[in-house]
Amino acid sequence: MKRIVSGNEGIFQGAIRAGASYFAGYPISPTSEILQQAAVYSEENPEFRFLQAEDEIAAAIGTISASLAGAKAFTATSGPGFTLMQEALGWGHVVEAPCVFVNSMRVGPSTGMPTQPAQSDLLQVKAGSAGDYYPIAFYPNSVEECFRLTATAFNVAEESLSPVILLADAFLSHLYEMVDLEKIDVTVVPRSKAPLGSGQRLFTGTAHDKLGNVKTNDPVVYRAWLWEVKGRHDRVAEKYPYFEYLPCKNSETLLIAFGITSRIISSLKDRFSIFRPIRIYPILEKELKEVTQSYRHIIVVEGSDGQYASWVECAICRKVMKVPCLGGGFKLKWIQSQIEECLRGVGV
Amino acid sequence: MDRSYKELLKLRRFPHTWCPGCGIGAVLKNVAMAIKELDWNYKNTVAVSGIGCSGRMSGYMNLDAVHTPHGRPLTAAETIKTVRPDLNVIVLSGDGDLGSIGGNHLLHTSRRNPNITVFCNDNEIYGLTGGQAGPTTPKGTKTLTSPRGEPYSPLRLGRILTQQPPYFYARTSVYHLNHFKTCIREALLWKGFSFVDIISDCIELNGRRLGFKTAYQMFKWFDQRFHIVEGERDHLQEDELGIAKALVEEVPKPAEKIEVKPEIPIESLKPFTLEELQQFDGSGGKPIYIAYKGKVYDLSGSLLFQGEKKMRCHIAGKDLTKDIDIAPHGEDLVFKFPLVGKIEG
Amino acid sequence: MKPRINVIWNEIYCKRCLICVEVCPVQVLSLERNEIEEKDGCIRCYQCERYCPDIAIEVMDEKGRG
Repeated sequence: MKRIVSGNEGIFQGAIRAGASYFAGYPISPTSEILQQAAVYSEENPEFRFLQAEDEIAAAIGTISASLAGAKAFTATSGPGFTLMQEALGWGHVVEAPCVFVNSMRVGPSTGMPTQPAQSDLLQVKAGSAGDYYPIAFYPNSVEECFRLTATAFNVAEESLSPVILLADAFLSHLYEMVDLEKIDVTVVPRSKAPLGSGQRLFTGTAHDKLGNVKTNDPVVYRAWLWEVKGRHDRVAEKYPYFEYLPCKNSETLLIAFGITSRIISSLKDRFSIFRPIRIYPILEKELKEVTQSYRHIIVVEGSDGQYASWVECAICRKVMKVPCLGGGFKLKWIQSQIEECLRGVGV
Repeated sequence: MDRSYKELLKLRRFPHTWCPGCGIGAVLKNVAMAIKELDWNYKNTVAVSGIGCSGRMSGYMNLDAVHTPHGRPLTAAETIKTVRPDLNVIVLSGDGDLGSIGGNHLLHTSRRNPNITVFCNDNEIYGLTGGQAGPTTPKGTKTLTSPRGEPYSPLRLGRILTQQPPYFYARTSVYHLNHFKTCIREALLWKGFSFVDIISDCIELNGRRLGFKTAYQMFKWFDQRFHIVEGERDHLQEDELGIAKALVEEVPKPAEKIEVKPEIPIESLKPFTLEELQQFDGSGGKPIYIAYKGKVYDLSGSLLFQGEKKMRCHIAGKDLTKDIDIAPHGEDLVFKFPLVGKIEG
Repeated sequence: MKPRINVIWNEIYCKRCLICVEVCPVQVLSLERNEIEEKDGCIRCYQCERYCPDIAIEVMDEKGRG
């Protein structure tokens, strides 16, 4: 049945559809609703376990431990909470625990503007924890996609054996749309890892070899492990090259936007071509190269000061123009004027 | 002498990583013995550990083991127990990990009282990082980070963990072996959060600076500082080794009275037509009526209508069946209000 | 694994912490040339084995097995 669903509820229901049976979280705007829904849901469904942790650190550690114990687990937070979760994320990558972290972005740094949307956690998602690791992240732009991509994120987590990040923003979290969640078809990948209590393994955050022996002085073992993980993540990510490309015939300008900004500028699709990356990490290098080569001007519209734009520049080896929507200011008119200013600057 | 506990240890990785005379070896060995005595094995037991020297204990157990980042073993253990209540979960960790960096988790996990057992290797120093002052370092002790003597009083784990029942807190030492074994066994059998504070020696990075030459000299020092107290206790003094435990007396809940609203037969309800219903829109002091699934409800008491004609999306005096079906809230909101009639036709 | 008179000593596990030497109530154990040696007079109290943190020393049972 069609009904009004918020982005947060879409995410929660998507997780339930994917078979999630554990949620740990800590209240934070704008994802508190997910925590509340999980609490209510666990009352009605005792097989679904829920923990309101003492802080985000505990929530994230709980999520990864639950995954090791055999549950499909997830947590949801926002920028400042995600900063606290970085420790656990690094650990999750080393112990290879499949789970999902939802980060609904708000204006930072620090407490920032708690109720205002932003897209400025992209670098934090990529490299917020210590050391080298290769996160996979998706970013929906509608309630239906929130549902679908959350389920996908769980599947990707099971395949890549790592914490997968679902990005959203304060706008999307509180976006209400008419959706029929029952009619959305998603595939569900079963658990890929044997739960605790079925062997004599060691899940450790210290460098270790395949048998679980701690090896803290062996570069050969470390490299072998890291290349294996990187290869696996690349292989899995290749299966999910999600993006949306709306070409406009007479346009020499390509707008790149994702999440809520892509939704806002979608009304400009008759004047400009629009490219929307859905898989944020790993960067859609091949796709960006292919799409951008036929355009003279590329403008990245995003809610940060060029975090994604710099990735695009790296990927296509070209300068791009930026429209940073900062401090929660996502007004179409303003964005339009900025785009025009950019184009005037290059003589269009 | 029963040596079957060796099955629970990864002997292929021996000799273990700790310094000569370190108390962690004794903790590992005695915990393994107690687990073996209870006949727990890798199919029903999980070991969780944290950071530091003591964090390496789980890696030597022939069990599924989880070695968490600094300070987080309690959260991990609690979660594992929540997801898999059939598993016995033990935590092998140290005072710095549990009391300092994981102090917040200690407060809250003990409050939530999951059925896990915590073994805290309390050597009163940060050993792995080279001998800095820890949360339990006694006042006046010289360490690398307190060259003139630790200026602050130590954290009293016993006081923190025995503040409100239910609790199980045991203090013992690696020297008082029989007492140590009793404590481990009792803690493992305790239903709820049990904490064993094991006074242990760090001879290389603490003892030598204090003037001890061998681990055994430190054992003798423990013998001077502490004495065993027998019997059931509520609390332990700082120089006592023993078990403090308390259960909550469960007060039986009074049976809840459920008010059953008498169901009014639909025939006896006052009939309204849709036109008549429109009159009752709250204007001019009239009540606010709405229709839902053929019945009329009085929403005058609704805070959201507040005597006005409309609230955000719903209009008074109308059939709101469709509106409520697609609304984010359920129909129970309507059923809270008095039923006043039915729709005719 | 080196058998002595009443104990078996594992030189690989042993870290020479001397707990066994000092805990022995009849003082038959000693460290000589980096090896644990045993004199006559063991009373089979198992203290050395119980206190050893490295599982490096075991008291043989009556039949001489460790």
